[in-house]
Amino acid sequence: MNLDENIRLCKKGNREAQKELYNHYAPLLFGICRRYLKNDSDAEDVFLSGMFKIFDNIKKFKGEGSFEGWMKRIMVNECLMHIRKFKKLNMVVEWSQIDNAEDPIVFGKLAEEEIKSLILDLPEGYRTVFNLYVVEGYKHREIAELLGISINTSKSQLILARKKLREFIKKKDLGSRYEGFV
Amino acid sequence: MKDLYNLFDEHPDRRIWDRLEEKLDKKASMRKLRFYRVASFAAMITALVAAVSYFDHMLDDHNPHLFASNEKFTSFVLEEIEYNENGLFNMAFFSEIRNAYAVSKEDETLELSGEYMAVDGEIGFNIFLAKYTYFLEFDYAGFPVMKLISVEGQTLYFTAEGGETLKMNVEPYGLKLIESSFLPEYHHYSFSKLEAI
Repeated sequence: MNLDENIRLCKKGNREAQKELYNHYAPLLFGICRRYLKNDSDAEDVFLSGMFKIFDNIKKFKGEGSFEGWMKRIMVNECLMHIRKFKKLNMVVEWSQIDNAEDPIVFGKLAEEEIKSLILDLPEGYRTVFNLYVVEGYKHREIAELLGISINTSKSQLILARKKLREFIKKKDLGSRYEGFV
Repeated sequence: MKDLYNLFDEHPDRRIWDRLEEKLDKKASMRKLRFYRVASFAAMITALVAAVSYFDHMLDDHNPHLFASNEKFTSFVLEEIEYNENGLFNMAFFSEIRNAYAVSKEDETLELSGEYMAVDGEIGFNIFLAKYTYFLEFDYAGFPVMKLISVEGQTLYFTAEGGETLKMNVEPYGLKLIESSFLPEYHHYSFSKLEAI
């Protein structure tokens, strides 16, 4: 079944089509939740809630853009809502901590599990901004709107997230396989 | 740089689909329930409006035969009129009847005539004015024949061939004798209105 046909049937509430869509996109969408939420149970709950919203609102999808992009946006928003609802984002910034001269970090030859661990070990606020900026590709202005923070806060959170990652790498003695800054 | 986007991709626990399916079923049944609620509410309102309209119609224009067969029902009966040459409905008499009503009583000479001796020596007679009858009674054996010569407003002027005059006024309660040349004792005497004709 092609995607358009699948979406058409999902709009009619066809359970088989829904399951097919779920099986196809669940790893990608669940991955988003896992990336934003450290706790497995939280990630599962948010994923379930996001998937429900996708099927419940699929009639509103007009086919004007990418269906995958539409689903990702719903899932990211669901994660952000959860974070804002249940977690306190520590966005207080000590400007003395910030070293603006630092360049973006790259993970080089680090193992996937090591990178995942590094990201998940970041504090909630750092990880959220890091995910939105580095992984999702949002601008600081958009992040500020999404999280209800200032643009400067978003920028500082990203800088601190990078700094923290470097510290982690150093601490875990991963430096030999880390390519350093670009 | 590694593909960070897909780094965390993994298939969720199978039980999540079961939970999702349960949630979707619940939502679908809620939608059905909401539809039935709205439909039943709409049906109830329709029935209510129909009932009110029906009873309103029945009360406003009650007709026991409204929903009965009207094959043998006639709401009124037309009486057949037999043609009669001499009858009221003969068209030839219509002009005569109309003329009879057109002639006013005022055009006729109103006479107060006497010479009617009662056993007690009094004389009495009726005067017909408009809708009323006035009974005039005098204790005179001989009463001249009085003719109405003029009417001024509510006042009637009578004269007799012998020169006697009589002036009477039509009052709400009766006929009042204002003055006369031969009935001084009856001046300002009122004769009651007797009956409507």
